Formats: sequence, structure tokens, C-alpha cells
Amino acid sequence: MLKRVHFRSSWLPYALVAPQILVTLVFFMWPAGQSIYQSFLIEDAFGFSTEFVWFENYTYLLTDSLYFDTVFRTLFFSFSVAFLSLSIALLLAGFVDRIIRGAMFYRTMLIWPYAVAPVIAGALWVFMFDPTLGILTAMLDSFGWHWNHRLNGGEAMALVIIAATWKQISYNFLFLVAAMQAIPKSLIEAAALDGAGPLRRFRTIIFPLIMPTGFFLLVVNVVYAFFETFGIIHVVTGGGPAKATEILVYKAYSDGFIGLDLGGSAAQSTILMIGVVLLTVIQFRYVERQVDYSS
Amino acid sequence: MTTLALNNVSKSYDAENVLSDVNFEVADGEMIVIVGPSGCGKSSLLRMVAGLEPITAGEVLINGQVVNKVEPKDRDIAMVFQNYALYPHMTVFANMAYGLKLRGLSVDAIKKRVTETALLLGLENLLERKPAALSGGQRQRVAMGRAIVRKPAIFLFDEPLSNLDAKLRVRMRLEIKALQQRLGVTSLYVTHDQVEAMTLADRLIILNDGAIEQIDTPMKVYQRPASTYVAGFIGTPPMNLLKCRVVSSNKNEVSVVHHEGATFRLPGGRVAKASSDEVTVGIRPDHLVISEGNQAKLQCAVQAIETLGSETLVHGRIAETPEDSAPFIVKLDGNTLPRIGEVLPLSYEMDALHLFDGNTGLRLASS
Repeated sequence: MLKRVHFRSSWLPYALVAPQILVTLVFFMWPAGQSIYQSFLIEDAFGFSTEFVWFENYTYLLTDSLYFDTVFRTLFFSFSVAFLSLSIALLLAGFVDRIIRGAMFYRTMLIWPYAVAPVIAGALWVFMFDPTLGILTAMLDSFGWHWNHRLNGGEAMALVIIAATWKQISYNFLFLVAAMQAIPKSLIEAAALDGAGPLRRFRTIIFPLIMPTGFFLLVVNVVYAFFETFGIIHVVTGGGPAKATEILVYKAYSDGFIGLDLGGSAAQSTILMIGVVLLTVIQFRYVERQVDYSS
Repeated sequence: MTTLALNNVSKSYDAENVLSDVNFEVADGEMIVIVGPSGCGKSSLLRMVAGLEPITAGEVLINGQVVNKVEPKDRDIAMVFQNYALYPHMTVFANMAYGLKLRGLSVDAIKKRVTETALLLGLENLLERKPAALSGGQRQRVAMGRAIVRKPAIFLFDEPLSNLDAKLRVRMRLEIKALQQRLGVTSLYVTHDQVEAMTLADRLIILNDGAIEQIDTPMKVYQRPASTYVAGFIGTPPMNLLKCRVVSSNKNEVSVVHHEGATFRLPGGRVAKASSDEVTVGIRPDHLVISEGNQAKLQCAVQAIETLGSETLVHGRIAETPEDSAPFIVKLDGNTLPRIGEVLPLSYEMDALHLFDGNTGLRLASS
């Protein structure tokens, strides 16, 4: 049984939670409300007239095939990033968990990329893959592959996925290593005595036991890919070529601040917000069922 | 038929020597208990037999075959861990079936074996539960079941009872003993609890600071401890050990030794074997009695009393021992309740005295 703490004064508990509530109200609820209100308006590009149009912005979006292209592109991008960064991080964490000498060194090195700002990370990759002076482009060239993400949409998508994944591997790695180290060593030894080799131990003991962490990371990674990759895409491709790397947040930005369609942009933000909420609910409903927290 | 032997086994971590030159053999079906304080290297020893820890020097032999380089899974060994090491995401059934599945048994055979073992241990109603839903004693039993179900050649126990409460520990101790005798599996059992060691062992190994002090049956170890270390470790309350100086030494008759004013008389032959005139005399608290009349050989000033019902433990000082020295312990029957400050006249049989060399700490036997 949890012990309930009783405060004598009735205002103290409210005062204690007030700062958090206030921050949520001012920085989340208010802008979100503004955005929803804005999504019902059409404003001319110079801000002289505003018209309340109910759902016209939404009907326009939902009948626009270009918008759906962006939705599918975003899903492809997000799940690629989440899948790649999780599996590579899992692989690396599995290796680091097994080595004894120098584990600290590897761990530290693998965590560093997380300390790099998204825009800088994007810049690093843009330089390495630059079609005219990139070091990796030169290498690919020697294999006969003429890399040019400024012209080729597929290559541009690959590049932003690589950059976004590289950035996220560290974060996933950190959590997965911690989860693996929390598994008692005797469990692994018991499995070894029971006759399981390293691969089978990983599959039948370690993997199921780090599932709760894995699930948490899946949610975090998908949200990361949806929103926080803006900086990387902005630097690497600017959404191009021919919108080949334009994901939903990027479209909301470019339609609103470049195209000056504030109402349409607000409608996109609202849909995006609802979308991510739904996605998270689905993940909790269906994926979490496979997770065993009992350990 | 399985025998286990260790030949000159040593273990060191970096420069630190944990075990040096360990030699012993375990006969088929024998239960050997390794006992020692924490940090004496007993767990390392067990883990080397299991193959979980590399062997620095020497050989481990199973059935006469050197297994130093054999993988744990190929040694046909099962181990019960101190924290049980049950797979938390698997049911009791799956926990026990895991090792069988890996050995490629058919589904039916696995089911049969697990059910048999569960019946043996009284786990038949818990097979669908996860470890988190079990009590400490039940978990312990599942850990045993997981070891038994594979029918291994050797059982290893790494302090399996130390996470249980005192009452349950006594019960599980008896169960383990009965089970081991029934299955007749060669076993190695590690513990720091000397009562557990005494009750379970066919033979005891007393380990101190990485070296074996004595290997013998529990009774022999109790009656004839090989060193002051063993004497102080085995038996509750521990043996009284008194540093003495030889006063008069006579080869054939009786030698006299002194301890801060107290005098002990011993057969001459034993004292003569000492490397100097420094010796340690030991006497068990159980072997002291309150003497009638003027037959008293020792005077003990009572400082504290512990009443245990069936017996009374007296902590006191004999003769002119300094205040801060270890108390002299006397075990009296439960009805005798001396007062604090009282001086008890005590006597003992000469045979009850143990004699150890003052420098090496080793037992000095009579001839």
C-alpha cells in the first residue's frame, strides 16, 4: 500500500504543481489552441484580410494527392530511421556487452554523436557526400557510382536517412547498453550452463528482457523522426530535389513560412499532432502487448 | 558414475592471488561442502569447475578427463545460483524446459521430464506461473528443479539458501540433503554458513584465504580441527582459543602451560612438538562444566549471559585476562543461570583440550 501524504493547507499542493501546469499551458496548450484556430482561417499573403472558412483548409489538404505523397514519404522515412537506428544500436550494444577490455572506451566513443547538434550532423554528412568535393562521393565514384543527391531523389532520401539514423544510434545505444547491463550476469551464466551459445542466449534471454526498453525507444525514435529531423533535412537537402525528402514537418514549415499559406500550414500541424498521438496510442495498444514488464 | 578432481588449481585476478594450489577429489555420488568466509575464493572455485571462470593454473578433471578448455555447456554440469537466476520472462515450465529444449529432446519427452521433476519438488501447481509470482522458497525449488531436470553428472550449489529466511533455510537444507541422497549425484556445495556445511556434507573442505585448511568428515573436523582457524570457524559458539606459554615441559608426563595466570596441564608428548614455547590451547564451550568442591581448574568471572532456553551461554573472563580480550565462552544447561559478576569454578577433561602451535596455528597431535 502506498502511504498517502496529507498536507494541512489546501493551497500547497496546487502551488507545487503550478509551475509545471503553467509551462504546459503557456508553451503547449496555448500555441496548440492558436494553431487549431488558425487552421480555420485563410489569410492573404500580405496579412490584410482574414476569412474564417471552417474546414476548407482541411478539405483542400485531404483531397491533395501531393499531401498524401508527403504522408507516405514521412512514414517511410520515420520507420526506416527508427528501424535502422534501433537495429544498429542493438548490434553495437550486443557487442559492447560481450567485450571486457576497453568496453568503457567503446561506450564513450559511441555516445559522442549524440552531443552533436542536428544541423552540424547534417552539415557533416552533406560535406562527406558532396557531389563535387565529398570524400565518400569520390570513393563511390571509384566504384563507378556517380552519387548526386542534388539530382537524384532516392539518393537524397538515403542521405537524410543515414544522417538522421547516425544521430540517433548513440541515444538508442546508451539505453540498450544500460538495459543489457541491468540483466543479472548469473542469468546469462545459467543459460550458458543450460547449453545456450552466445547467439541463442541473445535471442532467448537478453532480447526478451530488454524489450521494455526497446519499446520505449521505438516510440521515442518515431517521434524523433517525425519532428526532430527538421534540422538535418533543412541542411542536407532543404526538402529537395523536387520535394523528394520533404516530410510532413518540413512541408508545414515551407508551406507556412515560404509559401505564406498560414492557414494551410496550421491545418497540417494539427493533422500531424493528431497523427502522432494516434501513432503513439497504436504503439501502446498493439506493440506493448508483446512486452513483458514482469522482470 | 561421475568423479571430480582438482589438481593444483590456482586462480589469480591480475596480480592478486585468490586460490593457490587447491587439491581434492569428489567421489561418485558424494556431497562435498566448501565452507569459508566471504572472499576466501570458494565461489571462484565453484565457477572454475562450472567453466564460467578461466583457470589460472592446474587442472580440473571430470571422470579423469581434463576439462580446463571445455565449454560450460559441454561439461554436463548444473548449477543452482545464490539469486536463483530464473529466467524472469519464462514460466516455471519454460524455465525447466529451456535446457532440455537446447539438448534437442522431443516435446513429449520434455513434458514428461518436467512434470516428473515438478512432482518430485511439489511444483506441479506452479508450472504456469512466472518467477515474479513465486515466493522465495518456491523460486529456490524451481532453481533446484531446473538443475535436476537435466539429469546432469554434477550439481554445483553456490550458496543456494542464503537468500531465504532462517526457518525456510532449515527446511530447504533437509530437502536438499534428502534429494541429493536420493538422486546420488556428485555434488559440490559452497556456503559460508558452518551449520549448513556440517549438516549437508559427506566431507567438508574448509577454505581460508585461498588455501585449504582441512578436508574431512564433519565429525572429524569438529573433533580434531587441523588448525586454530578451523577450530574457531566450526562449532557454535566457537572454541575458546587461549595463547599460552610453556612453563615446564616434560616429554613423558605432563607439561604445564600458562595463560595470564591460568594453568593448563597437557600430555607431555604433544607440547614437545611445538616449534617454540608459544602454543595455543583450545577448549570448546560445551566441554566445560561447573565443578563441585575444590576440583576447579579455571575461574571464570561472568560478564554477560545469553539464555537460549535449552542452554545458557556465559561470556566471561578467566584469571587475569585483560578487559579487551575476546570473552571466554562457557555453555551451560538451560537451568543454570549464574549472576553477572559471579566467579564460576570450572573444570574439564584433559582429553577435551586442543593444542595448536603458537606460530603456525597447526594442530599438535598426541604422538
